[in-house]
Amino acid sequence: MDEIRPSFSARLARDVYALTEQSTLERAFVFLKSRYGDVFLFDEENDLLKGKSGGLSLLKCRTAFGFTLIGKGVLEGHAFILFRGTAYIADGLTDANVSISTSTTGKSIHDGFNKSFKSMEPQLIQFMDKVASHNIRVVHCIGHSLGGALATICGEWIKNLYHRTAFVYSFGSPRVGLHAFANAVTTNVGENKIFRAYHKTDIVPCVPTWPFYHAPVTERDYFLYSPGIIPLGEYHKIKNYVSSVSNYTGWAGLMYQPAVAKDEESIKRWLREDGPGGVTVSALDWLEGAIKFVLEKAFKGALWVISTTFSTTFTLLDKLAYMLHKGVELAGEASMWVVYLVRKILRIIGGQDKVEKENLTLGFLRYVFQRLMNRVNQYVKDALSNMLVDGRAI
Amino acid sequence: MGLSDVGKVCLFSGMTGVIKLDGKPVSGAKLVRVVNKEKDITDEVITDEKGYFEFKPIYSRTITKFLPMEFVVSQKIDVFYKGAKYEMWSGVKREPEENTESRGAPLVIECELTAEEELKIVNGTSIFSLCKWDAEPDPKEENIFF
Repeated sequence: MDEIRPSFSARLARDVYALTEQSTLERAFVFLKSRYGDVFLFDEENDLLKGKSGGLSLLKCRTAFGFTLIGKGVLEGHAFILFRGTAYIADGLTDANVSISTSTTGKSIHDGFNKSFKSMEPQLIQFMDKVASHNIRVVHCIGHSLGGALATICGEWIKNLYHRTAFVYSFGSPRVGLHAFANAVTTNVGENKIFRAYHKTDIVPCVPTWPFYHAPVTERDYFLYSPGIIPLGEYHKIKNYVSSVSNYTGWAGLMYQPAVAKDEESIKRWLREDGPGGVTVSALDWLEGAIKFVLEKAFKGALWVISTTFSTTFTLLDKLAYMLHKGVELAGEASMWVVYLVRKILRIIGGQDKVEKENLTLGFLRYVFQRLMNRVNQYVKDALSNMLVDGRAI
Repeated sequence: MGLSDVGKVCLFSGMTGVIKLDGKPVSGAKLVRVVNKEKDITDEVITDEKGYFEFKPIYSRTITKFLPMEFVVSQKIDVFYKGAKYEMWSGVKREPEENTESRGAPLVIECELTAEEELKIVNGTSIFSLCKWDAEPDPKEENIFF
């Protein structure tokens, strides 16, 4: 495998913040050399273009930055695209109603990420020309936080448009798109080339909330221990990601081993059991799996409902309520799973859960999903405001 | 730390020092300081007859409605003397506390304008500078790529 080590990728995700702030490109490369040795190409092309907003290496748009690198020596054949977000791109991520738009490759993704990526696209196209002329085998897309979201979009973009091998490394990344996007990333980039690392108490990977999904959809991810159960800003910081992965020599050791695999049987069991109520990260995780199950299995492949393009999550919820309402009207197993699902949601949002099939009108289903969305987003916002205070995060 | 300090971050630590040219203190040199965190903040001081100057720390309040963001602030000080410009300090501050550029101690520098620019990384903050100051740089990280 051509993947780079957890420590190297985390350090690059950290150093892109300083790289994109350096006053000149020369200083950026002196900085890189002092960190990593003489392993990146600083070509004359860049010299000629300096002053022209940093030449080819610096990607720049209003809401995000990036830095592109061609490896040499031990990194010969490898190219790197590093991303970082800014405060502007985060706007709206925690709103109940998230704007969705269509990516260059035709998938439904968060509108803010999409706009940032698209405005960097012309520069990325130029870089991909450079990649073609340097005999590059692998392109590594790397980012922390919002940069992780851009790295994910970039990996799928490269694979889709350039048919090159891309690796995606993200640390504390938010979710990028709807199920179809996450699924496309999983299939196109390949689950063994996606390294999504997150701390247990980092809340950013929980936003935007469902129906946004992480890639890979196979739940192959890289879970890092952080103390406590309350999300704090401290464990979103890249320096803590760097230190958490520093002792691992490879990604295999970091791979998440779930205590209970979320297969069909365990999801059915979860839907049927009473269990404690309230919003928790774990309950939301199961609920996502359960909604997917009900749509996919009970309705024989209706997963498209949560994947097609909608302008906002509200229109999507409407569609979902409509689908489930149709399911209720069906005889047999499908309607039973809808009842279980609604009961479970009611328990999570803290309402009366004694509902039967005949209570599930279209209006009621709409109300339940709306309440769920609001409740979950409030939970995330509360966690985030704790982070802002305790972590003095900015 | 009191509750009123929540979200208060240091963009550039207070700095005192002496500017020299060919080993001699420079009087009347203009030091222009620029910090940028989303927008530029600029101020300037003039060295006294002993080449001495003092910059107060720059703080900012930063409660945002957004997600937690990394602390990243670019810092610059240029010295203007007898028609020449010297890039004395160009850094990227990565920690929100004061004096992280000098590992917690007051930031006292000595600057020889004819010196070669050097990179120093302290507390994750990278600084290209003509100055010398008392701070142990971060230990070099061992790199294994694959």
